[in-house]
Amino acid sequence: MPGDEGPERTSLYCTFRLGALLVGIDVRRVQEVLKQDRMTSVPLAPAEVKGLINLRGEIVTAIDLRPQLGLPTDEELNANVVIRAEPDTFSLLVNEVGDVVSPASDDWEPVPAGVPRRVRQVVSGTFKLEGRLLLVLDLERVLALLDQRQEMAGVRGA
Amino acid sequence: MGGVDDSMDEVVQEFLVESAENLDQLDRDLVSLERDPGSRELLAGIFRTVHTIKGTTGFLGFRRLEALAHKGENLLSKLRDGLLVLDAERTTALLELVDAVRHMLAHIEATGNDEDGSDLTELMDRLVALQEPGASQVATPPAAADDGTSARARAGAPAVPSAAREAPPVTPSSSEEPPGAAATKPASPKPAAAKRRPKAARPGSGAAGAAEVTAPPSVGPIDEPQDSHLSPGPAVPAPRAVADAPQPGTPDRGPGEGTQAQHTGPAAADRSVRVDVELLETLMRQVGELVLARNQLLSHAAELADRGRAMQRLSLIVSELQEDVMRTRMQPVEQLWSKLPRVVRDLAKQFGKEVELALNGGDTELDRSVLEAVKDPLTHLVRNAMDHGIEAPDKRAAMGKPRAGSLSLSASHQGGLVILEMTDDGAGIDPERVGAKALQKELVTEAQLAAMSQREIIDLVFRPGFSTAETVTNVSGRGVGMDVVRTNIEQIGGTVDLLSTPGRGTTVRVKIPLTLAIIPALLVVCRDGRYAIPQSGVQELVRLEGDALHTQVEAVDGALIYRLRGRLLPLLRLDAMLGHTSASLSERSSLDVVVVQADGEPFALAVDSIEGTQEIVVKPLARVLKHLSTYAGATILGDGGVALILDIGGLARAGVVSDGRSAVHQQDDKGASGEGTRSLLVLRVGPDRRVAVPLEQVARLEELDASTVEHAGSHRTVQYRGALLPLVWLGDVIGVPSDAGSNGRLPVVVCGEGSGSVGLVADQILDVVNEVVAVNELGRGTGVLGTTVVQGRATDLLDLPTVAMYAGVAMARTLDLSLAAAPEETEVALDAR
Repeated sequence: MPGDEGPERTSLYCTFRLGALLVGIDVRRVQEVLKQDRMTSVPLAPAEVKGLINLRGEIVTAIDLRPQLGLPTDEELNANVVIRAEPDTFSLLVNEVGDVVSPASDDWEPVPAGVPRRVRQVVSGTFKLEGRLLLVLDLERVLALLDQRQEMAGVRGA
Repeated sequence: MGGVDDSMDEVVQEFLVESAENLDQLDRDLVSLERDPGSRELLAGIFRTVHTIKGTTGFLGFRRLEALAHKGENLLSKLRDGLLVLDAERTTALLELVDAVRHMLAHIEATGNDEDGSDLTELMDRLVALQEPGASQVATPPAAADDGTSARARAGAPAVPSAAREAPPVTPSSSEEPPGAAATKPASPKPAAAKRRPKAARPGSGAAGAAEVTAPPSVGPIDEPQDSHLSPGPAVPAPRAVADAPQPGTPDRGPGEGTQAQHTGPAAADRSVRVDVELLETLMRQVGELVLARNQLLSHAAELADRGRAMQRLSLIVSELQEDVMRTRMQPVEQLWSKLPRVVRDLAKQFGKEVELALNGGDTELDRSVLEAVKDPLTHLVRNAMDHGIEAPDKRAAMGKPRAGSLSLSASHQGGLVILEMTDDGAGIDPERVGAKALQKELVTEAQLAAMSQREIIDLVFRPGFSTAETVTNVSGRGVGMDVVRTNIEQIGGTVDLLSTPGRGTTVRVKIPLTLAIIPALLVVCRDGRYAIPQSGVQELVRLEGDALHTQVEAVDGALIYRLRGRLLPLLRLDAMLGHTSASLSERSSLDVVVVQADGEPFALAVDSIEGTQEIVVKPLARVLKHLSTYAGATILGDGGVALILDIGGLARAGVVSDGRSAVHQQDDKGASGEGTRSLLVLRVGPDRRVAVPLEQVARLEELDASTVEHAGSHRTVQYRGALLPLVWLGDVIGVPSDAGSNGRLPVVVCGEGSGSVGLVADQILDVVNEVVAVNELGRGTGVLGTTVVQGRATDLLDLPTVAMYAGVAMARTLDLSLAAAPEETEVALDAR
């Protein structure tokens, strides 16, 4: 469990708002942040996949994590946090991009009890920021989750 | 910074890279030379290469390597001077030399010295012994021909036991050369050179370029070169001019030719440079950006007024630049093909089989990364075919087949993909044996096996841990065979298909994307999305209007049939295939139809509109989308938008072949059943609750053995059609005690496709009904949208996406409840209430 050892090694987080939640990602994993461009939806795709974006000639898969985080999906998402995960590039769709913060490691807490399992699946821990709770997203687990979607489909029959 | 050491390391590195290429070339040349022993051209090239290796190793201080190369060089010089004839045994010894050198080079790369611990004495002695004229022929009595053991006994302890040496045939090495003439024959006949450079030197056969190599442990004449008629008895004079002539005719063979250059002298070597692949990739990306910037500028071209011409020129240059940079990454399949003659020759000897190898389509170009990725799987497939596919000569003769098995490989572009096909005329795959083996290995249960089609059974060979070889050999049949092949191919977005007729042979078809290849595609519109159909799969475009719509399209039991000039084609509607709901045909005044062909089967695809054609660059989809067989990839269009590329084969399978309710089937049911009515599947849950699922969301109905249910984490699943199908007990969802499965059988409704599949477990599957659906919110609750009246009884309408979440399955949005299908209807119904 990488997150359990505390946050000493990473102290910078790119924060963004997703529904009512404040979520953070290790800043080193973020390639760039951009305003939502045109998106091409992918019929038949898993629900998390909102579409494909052209990022300077590269095709980026846009992911909506709100169902996973138990958030309503009615609001428009218009900012992309682009994340490289070889061989693919993903974009997390968010409501709004916030500051890069450097929370004190004393404020680190594991995910509080009572948080639903599906949220725990992708969040490694929290920071008690002033007046807000920052959920730290565990990208590896997010990607693993997406891979599971693929495994569910299994080997295609001939 | 030890200057001397560093520069020395560099020299060694350079030497290693160069030698690796040289050795590959030697492999090819030696096998070609065996077929065409008279070719001085080939011999001279081989001699030069070995000589270079010897020289460099001496200079670098690798004494062992030098000594070995020296022995080989001596033998080769006598061959070159016509003092000796190259026969099978000398070829084998020289090939072993190549292997030994390769082994030592690997050792040098790893440790920096050439003491790799191998015993070279035997090989060196043999290389010396073979320098005696007629040594091999005298040494082996005629009776020992074809007998590997006697040959080995004669030669003493073999250094490389895996390459069982072939006893040489008694006959002269080639039927072309009359005994005696061979040694003194002054010049090579034309075909020699032609074969050495299969691509460059075969002017007549350009695109279809085929190289044939035969590698049997021959009885009698080794073989008849396929073009032996070109070389009549007396040698054709001035062969050198002929051999060199074709080269100026093929000027566009840039980078790929580097490896062959050294034989044609330093002039050729000057024409190519080594470029770091990373650099090429960077270049590629930058050109991509340039193209996009150009495209954006183009949209403002009108405002540029008099600078329009400069813009046009810029645009043209960018296009050409893009094309050229793309080409630097493309390499011909020939690079794969060229390794195979050696592999096949060695395996044929090892297994005591005779094989005719035919290679076609070597000039098909593929991105180098893709080429690299298919190399190992392909070699494995060839080994498999040689080991398990093609029978021993005697067995073949007894079955009335030619003694020599045929193994042919071909490469071609098709529908935006590259198809590599390997066909053998061997024993084929026996489904019964496969089934028995799978049972024995506990890969399937008997019940599962009984329910499988022949094709599905054959597909079991792709399961991990499967190996049909009754005797495990060191070549194939290590139990890591076909599943690894499939995994590797799928990793690059490809597919592997097996077609086999027991007793007649097997065809393995590998389809791989061209990643970076540019292909022409037809753009079609469906709803608000644009989709690309690779032009190669498109046969014709038809617009159906007015009467034609009704006279040429008919619904037969829900399936649409399109009559095209007397031919009946299945008509699929793209919107339905993509999970959208489509309006009844009767409401449309016209229909755009694309007639496409997949795997030889044409069908018609109805789209909303046709936009035109465009050259597109195929890009792979992210892994999370790879399982969608509907798409072959995605591409970026000229205006910067992203379009999905349709996989015609995948569409055909989803729409036509599926045995249960297909998308085609469903969508027209609705049209046929009239306004406002829907087809519902009615289930019983618990003692008396009735629930309904919209039929268009039902993929199949199954009755499963309750004992096959497995637990995966907190979920229950069954293995179903090669994948895990998560199950949801409907009783749990709607809170009704259910005893589904108590009798050992589970009635299961399979909904959704691919990763969105989920199995709903009910107590009983009651009926399919067509009803006017008026949803009453009264019954609304978890997993239930509301209540409707079906056949006079209150029935809960399931909310499938919510139900699916019980199994941890996110159901695709587009598959979302069919009620979304007809939102107006629902609303109207609610209002009316």
